[in-house]
Amino acid sequence: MKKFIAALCALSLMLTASGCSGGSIYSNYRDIAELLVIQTLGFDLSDAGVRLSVSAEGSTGAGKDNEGKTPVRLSVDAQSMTEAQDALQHYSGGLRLFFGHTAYIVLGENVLNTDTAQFFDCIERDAAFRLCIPVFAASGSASELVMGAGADEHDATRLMRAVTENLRLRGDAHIFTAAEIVSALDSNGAALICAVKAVPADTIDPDAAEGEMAIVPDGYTIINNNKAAGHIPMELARGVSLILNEAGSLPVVVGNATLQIDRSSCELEPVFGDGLEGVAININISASLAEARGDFDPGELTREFEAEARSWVEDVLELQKSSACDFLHLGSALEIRHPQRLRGASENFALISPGLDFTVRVTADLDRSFHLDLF
Amino acid sequence: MCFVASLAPVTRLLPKATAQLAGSASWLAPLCALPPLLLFLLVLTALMKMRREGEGLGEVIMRRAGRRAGSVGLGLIAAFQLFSAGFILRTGAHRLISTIYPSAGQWFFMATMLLMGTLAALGPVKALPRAARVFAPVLLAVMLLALVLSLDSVDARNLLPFTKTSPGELFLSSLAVVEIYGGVLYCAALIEDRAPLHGRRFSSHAGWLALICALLTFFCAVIIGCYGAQLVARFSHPFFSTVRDVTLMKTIERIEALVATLWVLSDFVIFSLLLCCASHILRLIFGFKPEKTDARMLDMSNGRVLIVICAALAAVVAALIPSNEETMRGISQMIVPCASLAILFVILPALLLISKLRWPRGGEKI
Repeated sequence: MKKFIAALCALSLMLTASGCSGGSIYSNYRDIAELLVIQTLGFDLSDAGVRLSVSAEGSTGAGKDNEGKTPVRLSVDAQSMTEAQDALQHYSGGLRLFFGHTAYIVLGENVLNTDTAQFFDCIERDAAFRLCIPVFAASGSASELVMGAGADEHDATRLMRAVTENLRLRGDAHIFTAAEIVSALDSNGAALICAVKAVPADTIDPDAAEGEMAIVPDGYTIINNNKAAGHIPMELARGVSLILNEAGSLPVVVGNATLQIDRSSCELEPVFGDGLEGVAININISASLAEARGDFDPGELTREFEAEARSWVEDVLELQKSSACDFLHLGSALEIRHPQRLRGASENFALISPGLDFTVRVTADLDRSFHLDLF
Repeated sequence: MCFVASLAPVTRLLPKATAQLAGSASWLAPLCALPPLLLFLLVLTALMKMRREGEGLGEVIMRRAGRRAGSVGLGLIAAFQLFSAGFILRTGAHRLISTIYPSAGQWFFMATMLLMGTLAALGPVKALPRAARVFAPVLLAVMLLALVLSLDSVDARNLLPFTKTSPGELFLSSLAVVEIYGGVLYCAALIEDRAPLHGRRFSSHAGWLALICALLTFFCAVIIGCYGAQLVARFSHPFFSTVRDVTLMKTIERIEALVATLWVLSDFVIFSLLLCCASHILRLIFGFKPEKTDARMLDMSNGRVLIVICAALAAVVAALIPSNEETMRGISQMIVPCASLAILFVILPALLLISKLRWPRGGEKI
C-alpha cells in the first residue's frame, strides 16, 4: 500500500513537471503556437540609441498552420537593446517574441565604428541568447540587410543560412561565433568578424521584386578595442583562411586554369636572433585541377598558384602590421610553441610585429584532376 | 553518494572560481588538488582506523578524543554543516532562477527542497546512498555528453600555454576542489557505520579521488577551452552556459533547462547529507545514540527531533542570507571554502592528534 501511494504521489508530481501544463508551477510557460520565433537580429545605432531589426521565419513556432505564411520583419528604435526587445512586442500581432532560437546576428556599420562593447555585453548577459550564434558585420546598416531582404523564400534568415553554409563549405571565410569573438577580444583586444553586404537582388535574379536585396559575403571586419579598425576584402579573406587553417574547397583561377584547394596546413615558426626577429610561415596546400582552357603545364601551374597564395597571405600580414593589432592571434600561436622565450606574446604581439620580418613559404601540390588524368 | 553530492558545489565553483584565480591554466587546478586531498585522506583514514563495529567518524571522535574536545570539534563542524545546508537551499534556488525561471521567486524552490531533504533525513540512513546510486549514472552521463558535444568548440589557444600562471596561483585555485571533495568525504564518513573495519580505505578512496580529479580536469578544460578564462570568470554558472550552446545534429538544442533541473538531484543529496550529518553530530553531543537500524519517519524519540530542529535552523540560515549577488559570491568563494578548509586541515587533524595523545600506543582505555 505504501509503495502504491508513493507511486501515485510520484505520478501526480509528473503532471506538474510537464512542460505542457499551463497552470503548473512554471512562471515562464509559453504555448509554442503563440510564439514568434526570432531567427535573425540586426543591431544599428540610431538617434534614439539603438535600432533593433528582427526577422522571424514563418509567423509562429510549429505546425501545418504555418505553411505558406510570410516571414515577419520588424524594426524599432529605443534607448537600449533590452528596451528595443520590449518595444517590438507591441508590433508582434499578439504573438510572444521568442529570442531563444536566434540563429544569426548582424551588426551595423555604425555599431562597429562606434563601440561593440554594449552589444557583446548584452549577448553575454541575456539568458535568451546563446554564445554560439554566428555574428556578422554588415557593410552598411544591419536594418537594411534584415528588412531589405525579400519576402517568402528570400527572407533574411534564409539568405543568411545560405551564406553561412556556403562559406563553411568553401572555406572562403571563417564565421566567428559570439563566444569566439568575445574570447578573442578578451585575449588581446582584437578580433575578426565575418562581413556581409546587401546588394540589389534583381541584378542577378530577374524574378526578384524591385528593391529586394540579396546578401553576399564581404570578407572580414577587423575589430580592435571594440571598434572597427579595418576591412579585409573577400579576395584576401582566403589568406586569412590559409593562416587560420580554415581553407575549404576554394576555387582559384590561375592563368588559363581553375584549381580547387582540397586541404591546407599552416605552421608558424619564430626566427630568433638577439630576440624575436621574424616569423616564418610555412603553408602546404593540396589542390586539384577543376577546369582548364587549352594546354597547360602542371609544374608551371603549381608555381603560379603558389605565388598567388603567397600574395594573399603576405597582403593579410601587411594589413595586420598596418592595423596595429594582432587580429590573426599569431602571438598566441607563437607563445604556445615557445612559452618561455615568447612569454606575453599573445597580448603584446601587435606592438612588436611592425619590426618583425615575416617570411611566407607556400608549397603546393597539384595532385589530381577528377575524371581526367592530370599528366 | 559523494560524487552526486559534490556536483552542486562543483558547478557553482568550477571553473569560475579557479579561472578568476589562475586564468587560462586553471583547468589544471583539479590535478593540483590531488596531493592535498590525499593528505586529508591520510588524516581521515587514521581516524577511521580507530572505529569499532557500527561506528562512524562522529562516534570515533567522541570516544577517542573525549567528550569535551569531541563536542567542541564536532559542534563546530555541525554548525558549519547547518550553515552550508542553508546556503545550499539558497544556491539551488538561485541556479534554477538564473538558468530557467528568471521571473520566479526563490521561496517555492527553497521550501520544496527543505521538505524533500527533511523527509529524506528522517527516513532510513541507507536510503540516501541508494538514491545517490540511482542518480549518479544519470548525472554523469548528462555531464559527459554535454562536455563531449562541446569538444568541437574547444580552442587550444584558450588553454595553452599553462606557464602563463604561477604555481602559487594554480595551487590556490585548486583549493576549491580540495574543500568540495574533502567535505563530502568526511560527511560520508560521519554517517558511515557498516563499512568493513579493516578495508583498504586509503587505496580505494585515493583511486576514486584520482578519477574524480581527472574528470574535473576534463570538465574545466572543455569549458575554458570553449570560452576562454576571462569570459568563464564572468559567467554565473559556466557549465550551464556551456550546455546552453550544446547542439546535437541541429535538432536538439537549448537543453540547459533540462540539465539544470537534473542538478536538483545533487542539491537534494547534499542537503539531505548535511542535515543527516549535523543532526547525527548533535545527537552524539547531547548524549543520544543514533540508531543503526531503520526508525519510523515520525518517531521523534532518541533525539530524532534534532533532525527537524536542524532543518528549521538551515531554513533560518537560508532566509537570513542576503540575496544580493556580492554576498552570495563572498559566501561561496570565501566563507564556505575557508571554513571547510579549516575543518579539513585544522579541526580534524587536531582531533586526530588529541585521540592519539590520549591513547599513545593506539590501545583502548579500560
